[in-house]
Amino acid sequence: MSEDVAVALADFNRDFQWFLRSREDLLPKYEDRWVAVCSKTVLDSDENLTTLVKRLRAGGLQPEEILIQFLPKEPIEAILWGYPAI
Amino acid sequence: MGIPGYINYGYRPPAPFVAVAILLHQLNMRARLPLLLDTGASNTMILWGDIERLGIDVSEVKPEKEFSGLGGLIGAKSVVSTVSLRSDKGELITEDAEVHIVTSPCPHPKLKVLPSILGRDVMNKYTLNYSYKAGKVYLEK
Repeated sequence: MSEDVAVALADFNRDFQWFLRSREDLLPKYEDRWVAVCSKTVLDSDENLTTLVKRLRAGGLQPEEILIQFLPKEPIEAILWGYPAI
Repeated sequence: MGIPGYINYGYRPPAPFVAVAILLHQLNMRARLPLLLDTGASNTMILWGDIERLGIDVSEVKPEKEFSGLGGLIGAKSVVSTVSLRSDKGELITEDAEVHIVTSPCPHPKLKVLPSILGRDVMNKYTLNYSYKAGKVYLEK
């Protein structure tokens, strides 16, 4: 089981690395869209995450195993932090 | 033992991420996701975009806790989980963690782009080596 997870995680790492390196190449075609990436290929994309996830599931794919990222024209600016409320 | 991460230039300023596999025991669900390395966050947390992608339903999980952030208070439920990371030598490193799933409704569709986060509950078990200048992100144990 752990070997399966290690292999799957290696594939996922490769896809994530490919997506990050390909950002500028992907932007002209997928600007402001959610893209699903598997095996260093964009499988599908949509402006709406819900629609994309539904379409992937309908096609027999498992979104929880696939890299899905939003590709904004401008980089995202966000401050994230969280503490248990006092 | 080093776990390589990545600098994501889709954020301004660019942000450090690591790819993980998570097993959410109570939900019997496995998932892979990139997590923002957030030293400002106390807990590892799955946010709205990934909740939708993974199809997570925590309606049966109790109790709910409140967390404070810049946006105010949000509710989240804690799920007993195993977080798996992959070393640069291909070894799998696993950490037991209580991963928090946000339960408050997403306040705005734009916030679905916010990444899920690896908090100090897991990160404190590692040394974080991060050099934006050198383009390096490493969690070391």
